Amino acid sequence: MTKITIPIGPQHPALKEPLSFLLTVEGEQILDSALRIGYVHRGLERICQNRNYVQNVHVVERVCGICSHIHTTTYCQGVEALLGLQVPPRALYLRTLLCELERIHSHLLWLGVLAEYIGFTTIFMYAWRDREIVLDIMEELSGGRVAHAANVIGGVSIDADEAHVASILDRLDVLERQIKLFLDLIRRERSFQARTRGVGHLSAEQIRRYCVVGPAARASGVDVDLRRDAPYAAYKWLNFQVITAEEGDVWARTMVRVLETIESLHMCRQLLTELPAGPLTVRAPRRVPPGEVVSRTEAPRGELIYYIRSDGSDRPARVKIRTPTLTTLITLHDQLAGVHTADVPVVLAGVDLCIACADR
Amino acid sequence: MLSRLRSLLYLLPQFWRMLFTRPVTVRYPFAPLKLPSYFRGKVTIDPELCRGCGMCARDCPAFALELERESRDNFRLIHYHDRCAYCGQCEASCNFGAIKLVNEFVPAAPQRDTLSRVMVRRDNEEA
Amino acid sequence: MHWEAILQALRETFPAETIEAQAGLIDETFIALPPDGIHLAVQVLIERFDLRHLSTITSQDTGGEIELLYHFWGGRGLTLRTSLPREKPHIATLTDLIPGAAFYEREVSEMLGVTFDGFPDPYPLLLPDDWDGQPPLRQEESND
Repeated sequence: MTKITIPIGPQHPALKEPLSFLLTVEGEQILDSALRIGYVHRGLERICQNRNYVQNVHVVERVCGICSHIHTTTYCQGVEALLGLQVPPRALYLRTLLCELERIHSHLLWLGVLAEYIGFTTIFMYAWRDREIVLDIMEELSGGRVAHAANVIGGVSIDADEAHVASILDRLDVLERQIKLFLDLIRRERSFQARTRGVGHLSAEQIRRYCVVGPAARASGVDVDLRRDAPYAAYKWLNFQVITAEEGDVWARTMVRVLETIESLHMCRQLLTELPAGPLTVRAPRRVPPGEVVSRTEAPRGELIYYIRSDGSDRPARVKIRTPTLTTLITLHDQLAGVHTADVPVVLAGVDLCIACADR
Repeated sequence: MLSRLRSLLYLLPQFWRMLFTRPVTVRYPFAPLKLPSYFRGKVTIDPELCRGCGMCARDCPAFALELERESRDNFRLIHYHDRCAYCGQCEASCNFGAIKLVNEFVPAAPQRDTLSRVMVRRDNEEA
Repeated sequence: MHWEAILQALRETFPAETIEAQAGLIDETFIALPPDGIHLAVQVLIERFDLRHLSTITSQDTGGEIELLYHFWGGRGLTLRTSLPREKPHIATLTDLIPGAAFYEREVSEMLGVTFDGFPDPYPLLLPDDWDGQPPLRQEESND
């Protein structure tokens, strides 16, 4: 049979963001794939060098829409370390609350996207409808569904009083019932299992070779979670479990993410019921003394690392961002080798791509 | 066969709920829309409180505020709606509480130059 | 992860250099090495300590020279630092030891013009095909 090259992207109905694949196909089997990214490269690292530290909080928020809060958290954490600030506990709790709410909404978004690619549009609609509960909570806390502007250098700019906390806890109960329904459904639904089991397999050795992070790594048995291993913000005061799986295929990644969502719900409850009183910010000077810092956090997709170097002025000399999606993109070549063309959307959805993050 | 029917039963309560829920579509612009209090909308500046210090213009990430200043009593502060990201940094940076983001929409306009406004004009010539 | 043992092993590998560990913020350790020593140091880290997780490779133009930082994670953060000259900077590739370094090296080479010797297929990661300007993160680039 002759080999055909099928281009997927940069604009394609199967993709949410521009990404270019050239798949070499023989019959229905993929032989090889070539990947190009960079279609939404905005040069944000360079932009950060031309703006002061306060402006940069908003610039880094716009690296990604789904995980905007964790970018500002990592950046603010780094600058606060350079300034030697002690962020008050209430601010850390609120910051972590938004981090976990963001993890829930990101995983629900991903579940919907995966279900849509399989053709199970019902779960897509229901997951995104229940995601609205989380987006409404985030909007009430911060004023924006996606661009929260909740973090400032030195603390947070949001607050929640007791009545608001009680209303959020009620809605989290509703959300938990819905997520348990999805969990039950995907476990029982044989068509879902048939589409996702055995597809896109990555062994633990491949994970370590390509330095993959996040739920994709945990689904292959590599037990790394920066919330537990290097606790930041309020994680040192929380009890939670790190979810891992052994199979390493898209089904394992689905289970890891859905169970992580339920775990995040429990964490949100802990944060809300144990919210300490106190100030929300601490005064931050505009000029940062010379130094450098490496700031790491666990974004919904894995380890997010920022390197910030300051030269004593009010503008950073270098901001380097490495987002977790970049690590999983390298594995797509291995995952796509030998699959059928009908499994390509499932593999692409299984790695939870966020190309805006990867391109910056 | 029976197991297939059982999985359908899991979704039936959801279908039932959706049958008796009203759609969430809002009727704007055919009906008025009340925005919640936490909505970050139009940028308003109290000209009495503004001192022309320029902190808002310095901290705006989108360069949407411009201060043309000749002296303490002779300055103009211009806000460009089309550049503004409605992030609220100007409100946070103002030390005198002059800037507030209110919960009103900023309507679009067919001409670009109508999208900028001189927010504060101070031109007292006497010292 | 015994940081003292790592420092000792690096000192044994490079007897001619003074290897010092600087403690950085948020529990990060910085170790400076010469450019031709990075490949050997990473080999020591992988073979003797199983420290294989490379978070990223940061590159920056400090005005005087091009600095590369290799960020590793093994329960704590370890960063290897090296400096390259501004004219024709080049360093050995790490992709034979850590295949996951490929995307990071491609980004460094397009953003700062560093050549990675032995890298099989260095085409740009993020910049468009018709980019004809200077590497964007170099200081002499003047368009903002």
